[in-house]
Amino acid sequence: MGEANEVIHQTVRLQIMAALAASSSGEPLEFSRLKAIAKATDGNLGAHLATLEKAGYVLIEKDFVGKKPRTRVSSTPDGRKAFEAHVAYLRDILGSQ
Amino acid sequence: MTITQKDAEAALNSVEEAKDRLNILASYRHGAPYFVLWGLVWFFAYMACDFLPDRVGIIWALGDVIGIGGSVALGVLRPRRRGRFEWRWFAEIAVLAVFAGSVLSIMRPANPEGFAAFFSLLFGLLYMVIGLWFGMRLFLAGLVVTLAAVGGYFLLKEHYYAWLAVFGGGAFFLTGLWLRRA
Repeated sequence: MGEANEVIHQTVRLQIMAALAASSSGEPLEFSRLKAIAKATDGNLGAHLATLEKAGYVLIEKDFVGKKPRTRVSSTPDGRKAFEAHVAYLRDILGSQ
Repeated sequence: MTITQKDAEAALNSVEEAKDRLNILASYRHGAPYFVLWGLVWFFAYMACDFLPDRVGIIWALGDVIGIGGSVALGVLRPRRRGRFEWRWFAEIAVLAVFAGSVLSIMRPANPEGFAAFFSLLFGLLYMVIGLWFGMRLFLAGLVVTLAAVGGYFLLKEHYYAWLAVFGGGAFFLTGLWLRRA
């Protein structure tokens, strides 16, 4: 059995990583979409994304669409690997019931 | 860090919730242009029916050609969603057509407004049922169309087509814009 990933295990961060992993062919997700998925406030989501970015699990890109700022987030290969390992660890815990 | 079996189960549930929400939002965005298109078709077709009530058949034949043609064009031009071809959507359209034909041939609405009310109620019902499974925004769109169909029939029957244009077409159009923002 592997070990728990403390960075990913927090609920909002887990949902962010789950959404990024499920996004079609690693397509980046917009900040507003992640906010709706994780049911988080702007500040809360921003803080959790910063934690994931610091761990090297996500990539945050900021650009403009016309005059509107846009923030998009995608998972890195390390992030995907860490997420999959953590989910496998959770399943192992349940499997050992 | 110690994770109990209960924690692990809750964490895996939140992973599934996130995936479900992502799928719902993706469905909303995918469906948005179809709602905008059909909202416009409803608006212009029913508005035309209000001015030319004896040309309802030809107006809606034209409206359906534009709506179906536009839907096919949207399906061809837009990037495909991941997932396999779902034949059941086409089967459902066929089932609805058979249902509508059967009900209308037996019940026979007493006036042309009754036909319009029937189709509005049918689509209202359809979106409420789909919405209960696939997203509340669709349910709300169906609810507004249903309330508009019933309310207008009793409150403003002399301009029922215009009522459906504004409230039915308007509801679909605004739902499309709302879904696009998801």
